[in-house]
Amino acid sequence: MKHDIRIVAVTGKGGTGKTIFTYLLARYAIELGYYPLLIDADPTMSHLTHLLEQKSDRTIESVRKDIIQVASQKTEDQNQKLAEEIDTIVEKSIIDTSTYSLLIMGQPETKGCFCPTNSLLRNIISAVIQDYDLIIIDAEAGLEQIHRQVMGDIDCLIILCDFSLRSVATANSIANSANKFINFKKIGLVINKKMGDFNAKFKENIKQIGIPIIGEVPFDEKLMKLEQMGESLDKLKDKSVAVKAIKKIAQNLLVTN
Amino acid sequence: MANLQEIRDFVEERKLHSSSYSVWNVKKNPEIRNFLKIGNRVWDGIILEEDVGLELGSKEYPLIKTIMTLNDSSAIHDSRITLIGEDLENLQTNYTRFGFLIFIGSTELKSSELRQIQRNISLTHSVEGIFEKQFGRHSWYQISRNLLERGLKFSHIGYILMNLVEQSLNHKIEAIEILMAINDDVLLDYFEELHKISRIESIHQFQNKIKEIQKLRLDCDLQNECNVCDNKGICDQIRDIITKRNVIRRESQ
Repeated sequence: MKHDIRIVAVTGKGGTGKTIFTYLLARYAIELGYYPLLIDADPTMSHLTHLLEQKSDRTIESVRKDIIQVASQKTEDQNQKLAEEIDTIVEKSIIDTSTYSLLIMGQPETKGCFCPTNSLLRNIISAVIQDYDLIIIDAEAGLEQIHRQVMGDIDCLIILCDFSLRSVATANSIANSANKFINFKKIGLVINKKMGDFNAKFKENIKQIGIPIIGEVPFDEKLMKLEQMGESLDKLKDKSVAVKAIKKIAQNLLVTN
Repeated sequence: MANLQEIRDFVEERKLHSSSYSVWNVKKNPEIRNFLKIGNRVWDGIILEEDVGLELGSKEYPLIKTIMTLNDSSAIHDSRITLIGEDLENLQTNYTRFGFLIFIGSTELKSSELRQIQRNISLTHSVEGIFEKQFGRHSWYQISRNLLERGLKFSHIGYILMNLVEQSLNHKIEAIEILMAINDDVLLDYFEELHKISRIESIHQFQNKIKEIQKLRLDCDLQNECNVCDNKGICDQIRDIITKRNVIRRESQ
């Protein structure tokens, strides 16, 4: 199952279904035999972590805060101790389950750039992720978080939008800023929660973004019901229209014929 | 950038057209190494107009000096100096056009170091009797009459250049070779072309580096001016932690 896509980032306007898409993409990847590293990179709310029914108070942001705290003390001994332990601290913040690992970025708590911290964390994370065949990142719309603390290189950037023109406008602005913030090999648009046909204005706006549509995921009533009831998405069967559509996208990305 | 073999082929072809060419190996030739004292600020003087014996290059035909690095040191003929054209004592004219390519074999050299050495390599003050005259970004060598009378040859100039590069880059050099050309317009045009290409590549690399740095500091309100940032002291400590971690990682590998 060799493929040239190892790092996938999912982004898009809030509410377009990034987290559920990421979750279902990961679910199918696991079915394919991957043991993926999932990165919850939404700084405002760790939706993916909740969806996976996980919990952790060790996030990359908390590690960052600790580094800055130690550095503020300006003591040689503390610096040395942290230097010795930092890789392990980052590794320990990864949650390992039987089918996937999860790394939570967390909410920024410290004001200021502290760019060497970002460089340090990026270095450690880059080393840690070498062990994974597949990394799926549930990202915020802005992409800053990914680049600032995770990595600058992504194999595939998936931008989600729904039927609203506002989400298309956000997708456009993400596509424009992607060049500024990250390096990627492939970029694709997914129309999520699709209902009926596209109207002419929608088509025109999509066309203006200038990136290929790599999939369409129909609105899935069963999925919506589970969400409304707050139930686990594990209950979503393979025949669900959303699952089917996301599988198709995943196959194109991950499976080499 | 043309590869080393292409450059060698071009030079070999020029040897056939040239009235003279010479090849020296510095390691096997102590006379070349011991001819002059070389080093930073060995000589603070200038050469007065009436004491100039020869100029290599001129305002119209500035020096062409290009340094190229290769990861594969085995492709470089270490310590070899090649000259296409007549040596100094046989130059018949005051008009000279001169240039050289320096090949460095190194796996450790950073592009920033290469850029710096490319900019800063200068014979002025590094050896007695040679002055690098500047005109804007262009330069050429003035050689004192006295030094010429003492028997200066291109092999000595080549060795001085090698030595200066080695001193600047210290242990990072695994092999070094120099190709020099005097008054061979075809070859010097080719050197000039190579210089332009390497300069463009270097600018692109530099621009990419700047772009990378800008990408890293998205939440900086000070336009990356760390020196005026209140958190600089903390960042310096974080850099100390990074250095310590790197040492630990190196030792554990």
